[in-house]
Amino acid sequence: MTPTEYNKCVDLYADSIYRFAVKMLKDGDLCHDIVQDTFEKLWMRVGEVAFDKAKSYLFTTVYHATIDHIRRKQRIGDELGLEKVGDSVSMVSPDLKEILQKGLSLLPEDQKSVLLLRDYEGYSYEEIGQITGLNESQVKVYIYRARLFLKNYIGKIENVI
Amino acid sequence: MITRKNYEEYFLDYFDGNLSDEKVEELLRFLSFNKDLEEEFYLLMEQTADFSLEKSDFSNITLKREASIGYELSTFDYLCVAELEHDITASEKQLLTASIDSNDKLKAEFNLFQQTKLEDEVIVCPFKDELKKNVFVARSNFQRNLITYSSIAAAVLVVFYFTLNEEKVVERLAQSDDPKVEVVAPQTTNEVVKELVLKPLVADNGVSENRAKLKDDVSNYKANENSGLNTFLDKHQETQTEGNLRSIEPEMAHISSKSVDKLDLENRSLAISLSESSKTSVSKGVESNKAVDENMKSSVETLLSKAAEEKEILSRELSEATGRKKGLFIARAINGINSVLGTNIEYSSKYDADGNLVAMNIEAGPLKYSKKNEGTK
Repeated sequence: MTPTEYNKCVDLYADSIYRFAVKMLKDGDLCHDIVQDTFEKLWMRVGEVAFDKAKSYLFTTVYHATIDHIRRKQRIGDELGLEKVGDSVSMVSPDLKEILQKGLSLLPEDQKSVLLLRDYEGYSYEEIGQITGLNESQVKVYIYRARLFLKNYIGKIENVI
Repeated sequence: MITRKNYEEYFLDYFDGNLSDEKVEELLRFLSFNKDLEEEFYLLMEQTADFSLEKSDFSNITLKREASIGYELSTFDYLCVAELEHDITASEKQLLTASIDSNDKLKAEFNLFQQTKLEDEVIVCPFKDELKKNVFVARSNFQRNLITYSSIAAAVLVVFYFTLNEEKVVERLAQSDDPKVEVVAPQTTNEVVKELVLKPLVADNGVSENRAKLKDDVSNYKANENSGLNTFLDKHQETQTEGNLRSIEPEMAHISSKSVDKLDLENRSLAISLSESSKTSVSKGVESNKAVDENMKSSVETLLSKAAEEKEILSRELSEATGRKKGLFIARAINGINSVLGTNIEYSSKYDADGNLVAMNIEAGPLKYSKKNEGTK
C-alpha cells in the first residue's frame, strides 16, 4: 500500500472504525486515542499491508484495542458506563432505535463486537472470525445469542410500555 | 432403539460424529422424555465442546443439527436468526413458516427477531484530517536520472556561455543605466582588461589629439608673455578690456572647477583651448589699447599656473595609459585561451610611464609566476 492509498483508507474507513469504537466504548476521548493508534499502526506497516486488506487490518486492530481496554477496566472493577437492564426501562416512549442501542450497550463485548461487524459492516461469519480470532461456529453462536438477547430486551421494553 | 441402558453409547457416538441424522432425531426425542438424561447430555456437551452452550440455546420446538459445531443448535429462535442472517435452508424455511402461521405467539417472537437488525447509523469521525499523512510524489529512477543529468547539462551550458561571452557581459553590465547595478571589477586578468577597455581607451582617443595642441597653446602664451605683455595691454581699449574680462571670468571658473578625472580630459583640453583663444584675443585687444589692467594680468597668471598643472597631470596619465596599453595584447590573448580551452589562467601586469614593465604575475592552477623590475621571481 502506498502513502496515497493510506490516505484513501482514512477517507474510506475512518468513519466506520470510529463508529465501531464509539459503540464499543462510549467514550469520545478514548475513542479518539484508540482510532488514532489504529491508523498509526497501519501507517507503520503501510508498506506491508495490501490496500484491499487494509479494512480488515484496521478492524482487527481496533477490535483488539477495544476488547483489551474493556477487559483491563473490568479487572479493576470499572463499570465502563454500562447500565443494568433494569435501568433501561425508565425511558419515556423511546423509539425502537433507542431501545435497540440501549440493548446493544448491554451486550457482552464479544457478542456486541460480532453483531456490529455483522450488521454495520456486512462482514461474513468467516471474515468476522478472521478479525476477532474466533472460529466461524463461535461467531454464529455469538450472533445468535446477541439477537436472542436483543429480542428479549425489546420484548421486555414493549411489554412495559 | 435407545434405552436408559445403552444411551451412553449413543452419547459417545454423537460427540464423535458417528451418529446418522435419523439416530440424532431419535436421541433428541429420547432425551425429551428423559429430563434427567437430557441434563446429563448438555453437561457432557459443555465439557467436550470448544466453548460452552447453555440449555437456553435450545428449545424443543424445532431441531437442527449444526455439523460444524458438533452438537444440536436447533430451535425456533435459531430458525428466526437463520432467517434474519439469510442462512436458512429451504426445508428450514418451510418449517419456520409453518410454525409462524400456526402460532401467533411464535409470529410475535419472529417479528421481534426481525427488529434486532441494526440499521445503518452514520457517525462521522471528527478528526479524520488528523489521521492523514503528507504524501510526497515518489519519482522513478528514470525521472530522477533525467532531472539530475538535465541539471548538470544546464549548468555546463551556463558556464560555457559566460566563459565565451565574458567580456560582452561585463561590458553590458558596466554600461547599464540601472543605478542599482554596480559593476565590481574582479581581481583577476579581467581587471586589467576592463580597465584598459573601458577607461584608458577613452582617454587615449581624446587626450592624445589634444596634447600637442595644448602644448602649442601654452608655449605660444609663454612667448607672448615674455615678449611684452604690458605693451599689448597698453594698446587695448578700456571698454574692450572690461568685455573681455567678463568673457574670461566664466571660463576661469570653468577651468577651476575641473576635476582630475582622466575621462574629462577632452573637455578640459577644449576649455583650455578656448581660454587660450580668449587670451589671444585679449592680447590683441590690449595691443590696441594702452590701458593696463593689473587685475586681468593676475587672472591670466593664475590661469597659466592652472594650465601648467593640468598639462602635467595629463602628461602623467597619458604616459601610464601608454604603458598599460602594452599589456593589453597579452591580457586579451590569455583571456581568449581561457575561453577556448576552458583554462583558468590569471594574468596581471603593471607598467611605468615610459611603458616599461614594472611587475607581472601569472597563475595557472597551482603554478604561479611573478616578476618585478628588479628581476626577482
